[in-house]
Amino acid sequence: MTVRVSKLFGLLPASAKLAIVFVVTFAAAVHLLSAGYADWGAGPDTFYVMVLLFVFFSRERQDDERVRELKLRALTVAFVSGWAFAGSFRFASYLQDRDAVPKVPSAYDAMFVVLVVANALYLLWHHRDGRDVGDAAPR
Amino acid sequence: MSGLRCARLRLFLTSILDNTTSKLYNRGVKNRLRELRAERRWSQADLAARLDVSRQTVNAIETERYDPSLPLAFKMAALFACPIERIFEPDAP
Repeated sequence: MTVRVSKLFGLLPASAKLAIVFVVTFAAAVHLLSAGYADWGAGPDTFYVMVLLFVFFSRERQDDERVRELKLRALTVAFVSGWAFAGSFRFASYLQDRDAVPKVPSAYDAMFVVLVVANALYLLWHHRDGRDVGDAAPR
Repeated sequence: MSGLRCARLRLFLTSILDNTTSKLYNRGVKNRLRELRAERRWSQADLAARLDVSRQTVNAIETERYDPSLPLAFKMAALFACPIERIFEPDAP
């Protein structure tokens, strides 16, 4: 099942993947703003994270070493972003009420941020790799 | 004016991201891939098909954004029928 879904996502072009990431991020933001953090339960959160996971780790049409390198590079930056997000969230909560136990984002929330950043960076870098083709065809 | 500021900020952020991550993963070895490809009148897509990689990968190597792995470098050397040193030249110490 996982392999099939991964292959299915692998057939999608980069623009379709970008559209999926954008829609999921937008849906998550709308959900969070309308329902509040209290309702940010495991159900929809898991769905958003799973979609982003499949988009990021699915096979590419041509899965070569550059693709793997870019994904690793995007994940490195994304993990730092996720860590910074979790830290900032906790610090902001502490500043709001210094006596209460500070709130911490769930692992799914941190993973959501990590995957949005990773997907965005990977798609950006992959897109940039395809540019600068002034002399792609010899004269 | 704000457009110019936005463009500058984008350039600044991109250069920070690129410099930090490329220092981690890439050492920027110079290469003559574009020259050798042009001699044979191949497009990037032709070369990519011969090397079994994507056209984006060939472009990234040519623009020195990415250093290929040793197996891929050997593949290029075999394809162009020349030693690896003729394709890639390391940075001066």
